[in-house]
Amino acid sequence: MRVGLGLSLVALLVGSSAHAQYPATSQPTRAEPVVDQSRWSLHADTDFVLYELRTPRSPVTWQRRRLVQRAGFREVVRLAGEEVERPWRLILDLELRLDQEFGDVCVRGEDSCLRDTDPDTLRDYQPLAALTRLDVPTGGVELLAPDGTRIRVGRIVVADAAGFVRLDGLRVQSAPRAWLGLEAWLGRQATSAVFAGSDGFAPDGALRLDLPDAIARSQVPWSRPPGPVFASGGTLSLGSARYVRASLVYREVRDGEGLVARRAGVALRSSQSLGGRRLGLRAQAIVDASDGTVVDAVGEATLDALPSEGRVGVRVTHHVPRFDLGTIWAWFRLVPTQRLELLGAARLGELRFDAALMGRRSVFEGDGLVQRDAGARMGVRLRRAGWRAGLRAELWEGSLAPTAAMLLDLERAFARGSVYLRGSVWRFEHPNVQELRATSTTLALGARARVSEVSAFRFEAEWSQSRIVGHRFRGLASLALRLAR
Amino acid sequence: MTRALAVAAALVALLFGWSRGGAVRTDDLGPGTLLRGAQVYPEQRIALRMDHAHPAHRRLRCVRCHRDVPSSESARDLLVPGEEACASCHARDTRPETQPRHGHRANQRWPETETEADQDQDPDRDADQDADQDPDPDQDPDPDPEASPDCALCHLGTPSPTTFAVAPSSFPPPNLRFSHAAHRSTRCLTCHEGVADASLATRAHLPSMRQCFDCHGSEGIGRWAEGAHTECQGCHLQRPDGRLRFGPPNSHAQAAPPRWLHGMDHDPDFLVRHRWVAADHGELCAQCHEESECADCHDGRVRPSRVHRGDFLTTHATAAQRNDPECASCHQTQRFCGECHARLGLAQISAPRARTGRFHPPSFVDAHGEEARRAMTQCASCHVEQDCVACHGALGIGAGFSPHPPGFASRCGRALEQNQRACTICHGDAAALRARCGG
Repeated sequence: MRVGLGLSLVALLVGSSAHAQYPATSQPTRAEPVVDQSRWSLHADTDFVLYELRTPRSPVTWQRRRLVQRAGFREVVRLAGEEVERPWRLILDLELRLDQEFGDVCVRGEDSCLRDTDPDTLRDYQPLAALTRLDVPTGGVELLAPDGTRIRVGRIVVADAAGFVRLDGLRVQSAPRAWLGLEAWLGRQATSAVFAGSDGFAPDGALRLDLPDAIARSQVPWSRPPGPVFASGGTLSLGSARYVRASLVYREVRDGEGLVARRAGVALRSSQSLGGRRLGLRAQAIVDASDGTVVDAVGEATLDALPSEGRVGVRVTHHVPRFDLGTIWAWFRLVPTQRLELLGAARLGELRFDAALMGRRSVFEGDGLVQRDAGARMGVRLRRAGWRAGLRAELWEGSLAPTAAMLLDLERAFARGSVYLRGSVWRFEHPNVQELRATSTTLALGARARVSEVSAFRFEAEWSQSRIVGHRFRGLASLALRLAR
Repeated sequence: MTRALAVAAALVALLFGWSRGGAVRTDDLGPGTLLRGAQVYPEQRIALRMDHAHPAHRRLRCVRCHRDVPSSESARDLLVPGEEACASCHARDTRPETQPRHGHRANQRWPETETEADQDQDPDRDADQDADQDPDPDQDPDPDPEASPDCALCHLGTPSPTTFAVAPSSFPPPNLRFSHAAHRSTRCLTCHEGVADASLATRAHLPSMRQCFDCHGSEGIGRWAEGAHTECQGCHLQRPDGRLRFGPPNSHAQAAPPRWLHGMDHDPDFLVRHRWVAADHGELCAQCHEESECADCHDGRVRPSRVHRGDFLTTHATAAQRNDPECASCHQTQRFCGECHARLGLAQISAPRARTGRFHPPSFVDAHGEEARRAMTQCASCHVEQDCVACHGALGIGAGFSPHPPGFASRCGRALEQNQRACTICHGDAAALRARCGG
């Protein structure tokens, strides 16, 4: 039934391919309109993944098959004649995602595999699972003004200096002057509590679960009933990056029980052209406005050599693992972590090199304890005549888990697709878990092919091996369709 | 075994021996060409011999051969000179009996000297340009006495006693908006850098984006010339929704931005850096990406293998301990991490029958405070609040040990006011707590 629904979506889009032709009249000349005649687009993706999870201690082997299907529609409506180069425009977009999980939670060594959401088998029942989810990754209406002002109603993604949040609501963005930018937004945060919503961005700190009727809350006392979470905020940007551009950020998140988070911050950046070089400076500090703690700070200076595409830079970050104020963990005594990175990149002929030296420390004030780690990362990439190759190495040593890794990427592009190989070898030693000390090897072989003007296919087979879980396989098949007119 | 070898040999042959014609593919020409993305300048096939560096050619003005350039308003205009441009000097070198198969006209000549029209086409030309490129513009250069007296002088191809099969050339139009006419005051070599010294002009001699920023710079990158536009769509094609287009209208081709453009190069470090780039230059991200693409990755349902390799499942515990990459940027810790750990029996909330034995070593009891204070997110991937309350709650066996920072008692009233849920989980009745905190 579910597969049928998905396939029918695919068939619907394939059947529309007759409309996927464009007029060939758009000439990118200065005198002609910038905007071509396209009006709408449809896309559909189907991904099928087959994999298996095991742990060294648990008797559980988790065999999964996952089918994820997305179907999206986007339409752009010009609110003026074709002769107007920058008209008012209305953008409608909607995407539906069907996420279906198959498989069983099996008890290793026993005959039976127990379906993980069967309430009759409470012995091994896990209420976190959902076999089928239909959600709306994106959907909304956006009005674009000729001056670049955007007003959007619907599902909104906000990415500012304070972080990433997704909500259902209203956002207004405008830059009336080159030196002035404004953004304001408010709405209900997109969490599992939202109708057909996604659960990727619920406030962190507590499990908010919708339970099936058959399950009483007392059976899962560690969970909270979900409720609406409202967020609002904005950004005011002033100045020019030629000198200094400052962005002031504020956001507030509330649920039915009170304040969840209140953040304020400032981000400063500057970009200076020094002959054939560019100097970029950036600094930001985000404060938990409820108690004045600086929870995130970044300082970065980079120097780009324009002709050679070389770069050197230094970056310092400060992070406090702060949870939302509605959980007990928000009020724990936390230790910030500072990190220093020296970055470099260079181009030598067709080879692109990048490297970083990293240091990390956490100072436990009052306890006299300091954790320190040092790491290095380097890589080289080559792109020549249809070939892409990359080799990377990473190393960490210190108070936390020592880790060493080597990663390889190889891709050969053809006219209608590509074949790629990805490999990696990791050596790691987790200090707190004896079993997590091993060498892990992975090899993935994949191919992408453009089947037609509107469809593409991807296949990937992946094998990994380690002492911890033995051999493990994962297969992925993906079909994507993109139509437009 | 034989079959396996045959398959392997076929695969190797397919990968390495991908057939290429006799013409020059511009990707093979050297490092310089790599600066021009094929999305903007599609790959060319050049089956021509035209040595710009030849002394006779260096003496010519550019518009002498590229006659349509000064009036061109479209990047789609094919501005490669036709045979008639070459024939003005090379007509005597082509023999009638070796005419190519496809309509190759011979015996056409350019005027011996430049016409008034030629000069009118370039009114803004400055003296330096003349000096650099045309030391003697009015004198027709002498033809090369060593030149081959047939079509092969200019064309690659297959000769026979009676015909010459010309190898086809292909010059796909760039996916750009560009008007040569609007840039008539600019020297040709300013944008077509190095072409005067090139034995063959290729994509490497088309202007790179960095060169455009010498006049169209903004936000501290490059320079800005009075009147020069700085919008992306001034040069790049656009989709109806305002995003840039790097191919024909039905193309979904994408182009990676250069490193010097606000650090937007999509290199491996971009995985870390892109949050700040998005915060500062969201409008530039939106030139190529739809907002839904953020959710595709941050709230995706299929693991992106470029971000997490296959063995990340095995190694992720060490990455989570270092919080590198930051788990919470894509995953709600309890829902994502907790769900999997619980099903696999690794978490306290796992079903009894599935639950594994003790996960942490006994010595971790002493060290768990440090881990919790430094990487609370890691704890929350298996534990729920009640696990902490059991020991640390005032009503539990750990009563008396305070996880709060120093001085918290003096501001606990404010905490209670903001959200009392967290307080009551450990401390019970809110009213009593309010009295205790002086609220």
